[in-house]
Amino acid sequence: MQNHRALVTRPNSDNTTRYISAWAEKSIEILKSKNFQVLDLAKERVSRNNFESMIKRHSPGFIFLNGHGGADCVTGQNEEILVKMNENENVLHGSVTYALSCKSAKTLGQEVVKAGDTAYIGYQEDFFFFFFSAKMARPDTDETAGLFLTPANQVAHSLAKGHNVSESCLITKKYFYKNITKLLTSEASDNDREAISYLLWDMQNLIFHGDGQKKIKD
Amino acid sequence: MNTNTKKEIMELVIARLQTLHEGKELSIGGAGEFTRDELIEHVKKGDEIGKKVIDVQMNFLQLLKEGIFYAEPQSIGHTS
Repeated sequence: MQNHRALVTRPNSDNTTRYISAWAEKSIEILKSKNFQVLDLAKERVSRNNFESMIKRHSPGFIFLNGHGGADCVTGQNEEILVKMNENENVLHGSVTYALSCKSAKTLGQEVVKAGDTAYIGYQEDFFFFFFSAKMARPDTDETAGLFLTPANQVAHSLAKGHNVSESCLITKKYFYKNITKLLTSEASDNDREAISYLLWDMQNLIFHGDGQKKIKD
Repeated sequence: MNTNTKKEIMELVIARLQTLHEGKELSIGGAGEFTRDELIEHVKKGDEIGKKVIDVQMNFLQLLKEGIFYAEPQSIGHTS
């Protein structure tokens, strides 16, 4: 039986985190509509102390990390390290984690799942997206960023709807692919088509480690 | 890769970047956000940012060669 609790980290200390955190709001709405209790750790509250204590107190079945990352870590507000290999990766044990960050699936994800009954979804290389700086006040209305961040949030949507980890990754890859094929049509401008190579990169580098059959919802 | 090929790749990537809208920026995670002109400068310098952009373009060209648009999404990239 799953506990239907989700922890979402949403820092906003630079343009990239401001964008991905704004787009994660839609995922929070969907999680709530599927009867998840959402623990929304946002802005200055995205510190390592708060992150670890939230997990200890609530044992969320799903952890959705939005932030910067490296091969062995994911960060929060002002790039404070939230989880790092060989330091505190055990906080993710027993959960499904999705990190919308650069590279963390490369090493951290592999290490986390060694404990068993755990899954880690993330990107093994840099995550790229285009945005219009003029939309900074309302990132969620930026359609260019949406080409990337709508599919990227599909992982959380699919998990919330009851798909397992493996299925959620595949559905997300298909969403990226749909956006790519949309840009190949004659209506798309050369300017828009430039996004294709970056969308392909993100799609290719989305992977999961661990239990692909694991679900966050029965 | 010889110097001529490297130069040709750089010119190709720059030509593609030049079609970008001026108001658009590219987020490269913790490395920051870059305008069209900044990206072109990084590619010309051949620094870490420039190399990342070239990697993406080379990857795209390689996938085109492999017939990416005739493949199923699950066959592209990696699963654990």
